[in-house]
Amino acid sequence: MQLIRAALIAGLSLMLASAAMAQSLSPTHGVGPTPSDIKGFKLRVGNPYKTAMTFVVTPMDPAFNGPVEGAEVQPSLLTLAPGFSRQVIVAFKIGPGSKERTIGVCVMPQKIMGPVLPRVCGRYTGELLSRPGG
Amino acid sequence: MRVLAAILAFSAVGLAAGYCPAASITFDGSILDTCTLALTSNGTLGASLDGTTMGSEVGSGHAAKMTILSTGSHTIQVAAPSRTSPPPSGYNTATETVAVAYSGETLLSGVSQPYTSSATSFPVGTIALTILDLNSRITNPSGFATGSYTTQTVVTCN
Repeated sequence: MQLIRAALIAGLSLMLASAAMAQSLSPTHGVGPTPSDIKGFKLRVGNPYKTAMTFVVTPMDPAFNGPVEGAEVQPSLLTLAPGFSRQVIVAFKIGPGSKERTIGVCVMPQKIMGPVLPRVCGRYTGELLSRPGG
Repeated sequence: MRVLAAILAFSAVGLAAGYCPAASITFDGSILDTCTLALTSNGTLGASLDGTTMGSEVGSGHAAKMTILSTGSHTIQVAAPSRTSPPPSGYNTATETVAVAYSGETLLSGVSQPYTSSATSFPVGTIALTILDLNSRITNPSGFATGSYTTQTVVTCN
């Protein structure tokens, strides 16, 4: 939660105009500057199913192999009516000594049975404008 | 008063001449790069008559169906499949092979992957809602012990 608040104060980078139709994850790519060591993005998660679904939104490494530290998504668990979408905020720290950081964010249904697990992932890069105090 | 009179006079002349001021109305919108995956049919595993295969294309099995909608350029990654159910008692896991195959319909008709145990991927550009058919199987020359079997493949759009 602290990460999210800091990102909002530091100047959240808003993505462009709203999507014409909400989809599972939008946008799926993002690059933006930040004046501090925290970068945030606004993403939109949509429910394409015909029933209400609960989705898990997880910050991952850029290869989508596993969760990462120093990154947070709010809300990370959301239930959507069919055809509806909702914004989530992802914020992550750019480590000391680094000028940029790329993370992945994946959205998948919380409970889905069967041989196929669908997920939509995106990659987002934060670029430091300058180091704090420098 | 003189200004008002002038305005009224000008308006009267304009109406008499058939002049109708026009204004253009502009609508704009934008599309962000987006990707949607929706599993419309889970798929089930059936048993082969010779007892060496459990798959979606044998016995009572049927394929999983997934719809893909993409705006912009994305990659669909189909991870290496695995058996997610615990092995039933007496089941020989050393001789099993889990594989997945898939093929696209309509706008993805050029996508076709034979059964494989490895991770695979294919690119998609901007496409309207299109179906991808996925099949899964477990082959085991040692046969299948009594119990439940489940496979899973993670399909990622990024």
